[in-house]
Amino acid sequence: MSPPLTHEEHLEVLACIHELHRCRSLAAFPEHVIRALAPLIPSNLSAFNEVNMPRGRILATMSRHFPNLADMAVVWERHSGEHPLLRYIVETGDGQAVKVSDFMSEAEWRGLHLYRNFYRELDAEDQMSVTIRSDAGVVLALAFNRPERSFTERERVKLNLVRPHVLQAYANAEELSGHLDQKQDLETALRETGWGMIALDAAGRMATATPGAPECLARYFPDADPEGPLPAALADWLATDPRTPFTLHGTESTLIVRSPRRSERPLVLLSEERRRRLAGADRLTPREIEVLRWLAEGKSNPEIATILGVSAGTVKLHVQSILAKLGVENRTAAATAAREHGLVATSLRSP
Amino acid sequence: MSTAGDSPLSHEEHLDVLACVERLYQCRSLAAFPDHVLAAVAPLVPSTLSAFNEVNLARNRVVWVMDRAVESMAVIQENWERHSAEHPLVRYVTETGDGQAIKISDLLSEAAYHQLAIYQTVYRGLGAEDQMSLTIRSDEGIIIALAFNRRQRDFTESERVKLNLIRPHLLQAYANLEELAGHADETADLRTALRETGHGLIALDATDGIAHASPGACECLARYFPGAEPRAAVPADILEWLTTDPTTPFTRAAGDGRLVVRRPRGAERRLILVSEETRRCLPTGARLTDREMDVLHWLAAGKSNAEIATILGLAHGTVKRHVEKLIAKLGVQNRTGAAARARDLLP
Repeated sequence: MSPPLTHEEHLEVLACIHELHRCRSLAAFPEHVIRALAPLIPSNLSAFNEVNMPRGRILATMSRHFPNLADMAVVWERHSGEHPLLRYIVETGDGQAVKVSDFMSEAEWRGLHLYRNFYRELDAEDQMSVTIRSDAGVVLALAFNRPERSFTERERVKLNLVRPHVLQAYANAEELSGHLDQKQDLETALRETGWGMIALDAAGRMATATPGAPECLARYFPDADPEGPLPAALADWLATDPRTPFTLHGTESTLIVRSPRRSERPLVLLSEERRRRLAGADRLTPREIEVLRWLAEGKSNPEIATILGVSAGTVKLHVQSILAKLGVENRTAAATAAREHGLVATSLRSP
Repeated sequence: MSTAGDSPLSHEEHLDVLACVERLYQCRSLAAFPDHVLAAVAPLVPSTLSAFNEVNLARNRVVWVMDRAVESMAVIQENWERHSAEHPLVRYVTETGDGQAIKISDLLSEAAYHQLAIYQTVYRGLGAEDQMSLTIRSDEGIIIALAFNRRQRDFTESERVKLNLIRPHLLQAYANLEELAGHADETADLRTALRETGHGLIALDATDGIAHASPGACECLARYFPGAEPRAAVPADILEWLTTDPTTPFTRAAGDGRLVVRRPRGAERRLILVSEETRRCLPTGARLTDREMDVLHWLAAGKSNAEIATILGLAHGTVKRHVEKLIAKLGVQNRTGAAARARDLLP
């Protein structure tokens, strides 16, 4: 029959549980759990063993650093079939706290290859372990080692009391890490599409942004406060005409801003189209660029002449000059080149 | 069963506290937290009426949740707000900053309490002859408190101890959920943004299973892999492609669309970025044949009919007829007009 704990011991258990739930990621969990349990079950060596197949985590984390951990693992695995605690959990499925001294005498323990080749060197004369979880893809266990057979029944009670809390804290850390991973994956994917994102909070301030998005905005709105409201021009656009993309031409590039139709919070997406230099394009006159834009829209020379209010002959001369400067053979190639290089980024409206 | 020495709680009461704490950390969302807390604490401190009050200005949350429905709640709330300044527990917390469990009977006699307008207009009707409250948090912008009401002045010292023991855990559980909610919001925003750009995302776990997928990504794959069940597993062809050159997209055509699968650069996990290119409907309602698409491609590249004929191994006259049909189907005037539409139409 297990002894009830004192009030002070219960306070230690509660403090340990609190510490467990302060862990903020799965990556930090093994060291965190070892540190949280140390005051409750003092030992000369404690370990947290974790197998999480879906996440590809197979970890043995120890309270002390061993430079030859890989070699040690090989030795341990060779003799693990002898381990009395491992055999107990495999045979019974009971994950409650058990110790080596529950199952065998000191002499029997010292007779094992596992002891002689592994635990003796670690001064592990007794071990108490608790299995937090053991199902197909996930096994979590804690082990505490001592140089003498001194684990008490009260310590066993404490370990059994914190057991469900270690499981809950692990599940919570896994969930939090899941969200963090997803966030990172989505950010990576969005970056690949060439778009950045800024989310606005309830007060219309820029609350969260993907890496690079605030810098992109600042190139077009140098006075914008990265944690303040959207620049006035963008705020106006968002309030009045969010379905039509907002564009703003810079010296070498164009900012394009869109707003998703179905979103819970107001979001803006930013992308930048760099106008790549087309060979010869910088030698085009403003009039030639104008002609090239209409040409790329599929207008004939007489149509362009009418639009620009010049004679058809003048347009023809402009077109010949454009072809020569761009080094292309015909007007179709000129239009395609201009389009591909963003020289005609803005779509013109027919009169 | 046993009370060790001068312990304020029995072993069994300590176990009740531990069970309550375990339930607190099981809550998975900030929205569910108030109801969750009231249910978790109810076995610890039974009462005729318990309430969870939360003010979170940053999240725009002002919550007053009771463990049971109360009649004419709006009137009660209005009266409470009007007379809250004389509430002995509110005054105590405001003056001392001490959020530990405290009850009205610690501060006022029954007679003095009955004199208060807040008793006469709010608490008498609720049968609240005594109230014990616990302030979880009280800083700028965020106030979280629990209140328990009883018909008699019979709150015990062990109940006070229990509430004080769970207090840091309430605060921790709330902070953890707030962090989780922040990540969940950002994840939802990013999903929306990605969908807006016409992409879906599937992330693979260490065992080739789907770690997470955006809605639509699996449906998109299903259109190009008839018979496969992409919600359960990524098609084998794509898993195979993942082992090859990462810069070449995986493509597959079906019907009027084309699937394009890419791998984002700099990803820690194996990510599959899915998009679909659909040949847009032509204004004339007609569809371009594959041959016409070929011709359009070379036409847009600036090739003459004679050059296109050589490239595609066709007669010059055949190319000319293709171009004429293209111009008619696209509803443009000339080949330059057709080239202008090419970028929208070609896969």
